Amino acid sequence: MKTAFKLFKYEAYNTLRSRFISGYFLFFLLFTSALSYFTGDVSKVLISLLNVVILFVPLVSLVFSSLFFYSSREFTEIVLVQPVGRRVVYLSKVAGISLPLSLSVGLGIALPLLIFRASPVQTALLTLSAMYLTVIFSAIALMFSVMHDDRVRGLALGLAVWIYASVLYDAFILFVGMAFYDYPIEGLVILLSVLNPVDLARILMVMNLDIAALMGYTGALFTEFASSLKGYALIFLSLTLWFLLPLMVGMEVFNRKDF
Amino acid sequence: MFSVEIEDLHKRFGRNRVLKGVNLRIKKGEITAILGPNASGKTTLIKCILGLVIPTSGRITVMGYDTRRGVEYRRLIGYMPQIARFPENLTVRELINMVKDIRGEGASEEYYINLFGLERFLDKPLSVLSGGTRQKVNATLAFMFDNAMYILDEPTVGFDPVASTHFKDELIKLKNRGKSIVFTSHIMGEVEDLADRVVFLLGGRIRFDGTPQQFKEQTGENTLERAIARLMEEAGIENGV
Repeated sequence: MKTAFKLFKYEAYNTLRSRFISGYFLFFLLFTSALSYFTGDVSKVLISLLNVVILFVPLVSLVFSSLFFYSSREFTEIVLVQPVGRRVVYLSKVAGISLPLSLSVGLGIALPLLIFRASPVQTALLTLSAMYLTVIFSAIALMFSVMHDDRVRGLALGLAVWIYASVLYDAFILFVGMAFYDYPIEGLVILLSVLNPVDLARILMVMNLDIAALMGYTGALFTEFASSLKGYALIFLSLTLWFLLPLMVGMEVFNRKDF
Repeated sequence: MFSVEIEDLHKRFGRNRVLKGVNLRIKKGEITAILGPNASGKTTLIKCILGLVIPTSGRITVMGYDTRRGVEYRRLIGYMPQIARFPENLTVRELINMVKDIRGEGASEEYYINLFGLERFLDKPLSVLSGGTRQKVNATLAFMFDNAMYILDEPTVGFDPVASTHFKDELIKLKNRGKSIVFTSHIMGEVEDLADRVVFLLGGRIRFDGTPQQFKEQTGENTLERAIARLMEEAGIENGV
């Protein structure tokens, strides 16, 4: 445990030293501040931010985590020849990359929103969504990067997940809605949302903005189904599984990998 | 007692069989050079000992510890990889402290920092260092702990003649203190200078194991380079290449 913390400290330090992390933080800080300052209406700011978060955050997390993993391969080898177990090395790597990244986006959003007096609950939910999406897509990117030594293939697989979650999924839901217009498909659509972390993050926010109907079919459904504790529990459980699953798969592949 | 004992080691990457039944024992206080053409399995063999590559079958013990059971045996090994690339954002000092911190052991890094003239680079990020300087950092990381054995993969590539001389002197000193040293190299002069024993790998099998003198005598050649060429020719004829 002590070694895991030490390794995490160095991995996180290495990530934090990257100029990209501070740039990323500054981008969200300035973007959120500017939106809040010029728009005035807080709920409009939250919707705009939500759209940026669900499209932009998964993509940046994927690309950054994947490239960082490939560029630190030799560093990983230095650590692996020390008396440290592989699972510990992998977990500290995931934490060391994804936590600084999620903190920079989380703080970049939360600080200006709180300063401009947005609702603390809505701020917390948006920040949590952004941080969840960061660690989830970071874990997915690292899983593919561990599986494939070829960085183009590793990155491409991560991007394929992003395209599915951010682009194709909405078209698919629209198709399902139109094709089965006459059938009671609420249950099916809720199940399909669980299969997409980006949609889950969107629903989490939308449920709290009273604009569910504007944000697509699943948003409207979830508000009905889940403005309750059960709904929140399902969303957070699914998001947590979306993080844990690639983390575990990545860790097992890493444990048997040849370097 | 042997530092390393390898029994019937096999490694396969997909369809590619890289090691095909390697048996090897490395004695304490001996410098062993592992030689062979590119893709003969040298680096894979070294990485199997270090636990970086997981063997398909076979058994490796380091100082009596089975490498499949736990990671503590790595405390006995100092390793210098082939290409020295490090986390770009750390400085030399931070990297050295990090490895010390992870191992949780005292280290004599000051001695090696002086030896390789690294003082003025200590606070520079690793990304701005030249290849040779990175290799010196690499050597410091490998040597700074009091290990029982040292594994060096083409260590002198990138060194200037001064660093190379210091490095070789250091290897002799370590050997005289009873440490085992295993290294790979394509520079035959270096092998003749340093190695007590030569292990020649070809196509994933050991084709020769003995002193450099025996290697030359067996092949009837005057130099190691020619001896290797002769052995490769013979193996080529054997394999019908």
